[in-house]
Amino acid sequence: MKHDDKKGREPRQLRELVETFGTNHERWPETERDRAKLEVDSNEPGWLSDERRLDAWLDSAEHIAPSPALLRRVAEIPARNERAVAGWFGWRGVRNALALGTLAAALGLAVGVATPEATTMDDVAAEDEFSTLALGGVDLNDGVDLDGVDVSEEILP
Amino acid sequence: MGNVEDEIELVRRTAKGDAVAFRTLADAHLGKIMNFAYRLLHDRTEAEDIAQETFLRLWKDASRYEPRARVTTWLHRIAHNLCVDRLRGRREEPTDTLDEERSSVEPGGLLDRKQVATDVGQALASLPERQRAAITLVHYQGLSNIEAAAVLEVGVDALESLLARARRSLRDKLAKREPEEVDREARR
Repeated sequence: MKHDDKKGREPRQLRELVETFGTNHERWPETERDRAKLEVDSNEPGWLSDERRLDAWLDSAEHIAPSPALLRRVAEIPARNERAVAGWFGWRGVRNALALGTLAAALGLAVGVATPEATTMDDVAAEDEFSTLALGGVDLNDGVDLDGVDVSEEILP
Repeated sequence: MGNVEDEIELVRRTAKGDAVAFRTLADAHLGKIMNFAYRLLHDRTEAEDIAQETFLRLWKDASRYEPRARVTTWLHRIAHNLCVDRLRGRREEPTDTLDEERSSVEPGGLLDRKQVATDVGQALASLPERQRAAITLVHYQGLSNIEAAAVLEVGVDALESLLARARRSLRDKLAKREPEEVDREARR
C-alpha cells in the first residue's frame, strides 16, 4: 500500500488501509500507523462502523486449545525422534572438514604435478641397494637368490 | 516469549538436541500454530496433526532455520505448507454452509455466541485458501504484512490484495447475515 506522505493521505487511501487491515491500528503497517491513526481518530468517517462490525464479528471466532493428548505427543517428540546428525553448527563442522579435505587434495595434486616421477637410473639403483641391505640379495618370493642358487633352507628355520 | 534473540538462541539449542529448549518453543507457539491450522482446515483433528508435524519439523530441522525471520514466521510457513498439502489432498473444498446450518438460538446467550463463532469459522472456511491464509495470518496470528507475505511467499502488494478481497467477501457475508438476524428477532 503506497502513499505519498507529502500530499497527505487521501480519504480513499485511508479507507483502503482500513478495508485491508481492519480498524485495529496495531495491524496496520508500521510505516503508516501513526499518521493514519491520527486521521481516523480525528475524522471518524462514517464507513468506519461497518469495518468495526466486521472486526467484532471476526473476533468472535472460536479459539481452540491444544488437547492434552497433543501436548503429550509434542512433549515426547525429542525422546521419540532422532535428530539429524548435522545441525546448524554441526553442518558448519562438516562443511569445514570437507573444505579442508578439498584443500589437502588440491595441495597433494599440486605437489604431484610439480615433482617428477622416480624413474631415473639413480632411483632404481637406490632401490636395489635398499633391497640388498634389508634382505642380503635374497628374493623371498620364489626362494631363489640372484645367482640362481636355492637358499631357502638357509634363511628359513 | 517476545525476545527475538532469546528465541533464536532456543532454536540454536534445539538444533544441538536440547529438549528443554524445544519444549520452551513448543509452549510458546503450539497454541498459535494449532489455531492457524484450524482456521485454514476447519477441522480440529487435522489441525492437531498439522501442529504436531510442525513441531516435529522444528525438532528435526532446527538446523535449517535462518535467523533472518522471526521464529513464529518460520513456524507459520512450515504449518502453512503442510496445510496446503492437506487441502490439495481433499476431494472437495469446503462449501459455504453458513445459511443452511444455522439454528434458532437465544440471542446474546452462550449458544448464540457459539453460533456466531461457528458462522465466522464457516465464513472463513468458504474463502479461497490464500485469502483465508492472509486474513488469518494478519487478523488472528498477529503477523505484520511483511511477515504474512513471507509465509505465503508473495510480495507485500499481493498480500494486501488478498487481505482486501478476503475482508470484502466477509463483509458481504456479514451484511447478508444481519438482515436475517433482524427478521428472526422480529418474528419472535
